[in-house]
Amino acid sequence: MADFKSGLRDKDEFSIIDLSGYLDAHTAPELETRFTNLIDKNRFKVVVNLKDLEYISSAGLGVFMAYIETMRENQGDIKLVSLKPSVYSIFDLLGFPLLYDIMKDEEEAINKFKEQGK
Amino acid sequence: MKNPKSDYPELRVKSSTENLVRIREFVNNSARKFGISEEIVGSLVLAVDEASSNIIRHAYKNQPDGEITVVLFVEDNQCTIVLTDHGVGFNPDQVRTPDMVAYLKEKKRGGLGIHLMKKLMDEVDYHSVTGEYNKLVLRKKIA
Repeated sequence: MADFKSGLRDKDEFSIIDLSGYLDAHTAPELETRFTNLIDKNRFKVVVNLKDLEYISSAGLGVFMAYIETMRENQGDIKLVSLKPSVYSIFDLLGFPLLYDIMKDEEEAINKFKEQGK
Repeated sequence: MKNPKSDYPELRVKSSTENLVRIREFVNNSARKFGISEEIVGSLVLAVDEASSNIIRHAYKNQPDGEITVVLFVEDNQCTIVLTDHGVGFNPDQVRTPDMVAYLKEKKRGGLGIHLMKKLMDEVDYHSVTGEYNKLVLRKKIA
C-alpha cells in the first residue's frame, strides 16, 4: 500500500493541510478531495505543510495547479511550506517557485497572507 | 544463443496505480545494486513513476488489467530502463512543453509528467507497433 496521509487543521481563517508519505497518481485523489471540501466550505486561504512528505510526482503537483487559481480568485492562495530538499527540487524543475509562495514554515506563510491583506 | 538481456532485472505488474509503489521499489532496488548514486536513483524512480502513470492513464485508459513490464540495465556508464505495454500508443513527443502560467489560469494539469520525465532523463525514446506493443526507453548517464 502506498503510504500517504493528509490531515487538516484550522488556524483562524487559515486552513493547514499536513501531508506525509508518498504523493503519486494513486494517492493524489485524496488530496484533491481535501481541496474540493475546502472550496465547498468557502475556505480559500490554504497553507500546505510538506514537512513529512517524502515523495511527489506530477500527479501531486497537478493537484496544486488545478486549485490555486480558484483560491486566488476568492482572495485566497495556496502557500507551500517546510519542503524537504528532494521534494523542493521537483517543484523547482517545473518552475513552481515563480508561481507559488514556497516558504520556510507556517508562521512565515500566515504572515505573508496578512501582509498581502488576505 | 542466450539473450544476454534475460539476466537483467525485470518487473511485470498490472496497470493499476496501486502498483506504482512496487514499480518505484523495483527501480530503486535494481539501480542501487548497480551502485548508482542516490541523486540519480531518485531521478530514475520519478521518471519511471511518470512513465508508468502515463501508461496506466493513456495506454490502458485506467483499466487495471493491462500489463506493464519494466527492465533496467547498465551499460557503458549509462542506465537504460525499458517500459513495455500493450495498450493504445501514446507518443510523448507529441506533447508540447507546458506553459505553466497559462496552465494555472486555465486550471490545467496534464502533460506535466512527460515534461518532467524529459527533464530528468538524458534521452527518452518511444517505439510503437500498433496492436502489438509500445516501448518507452529512458536513458541516463550515471557517471
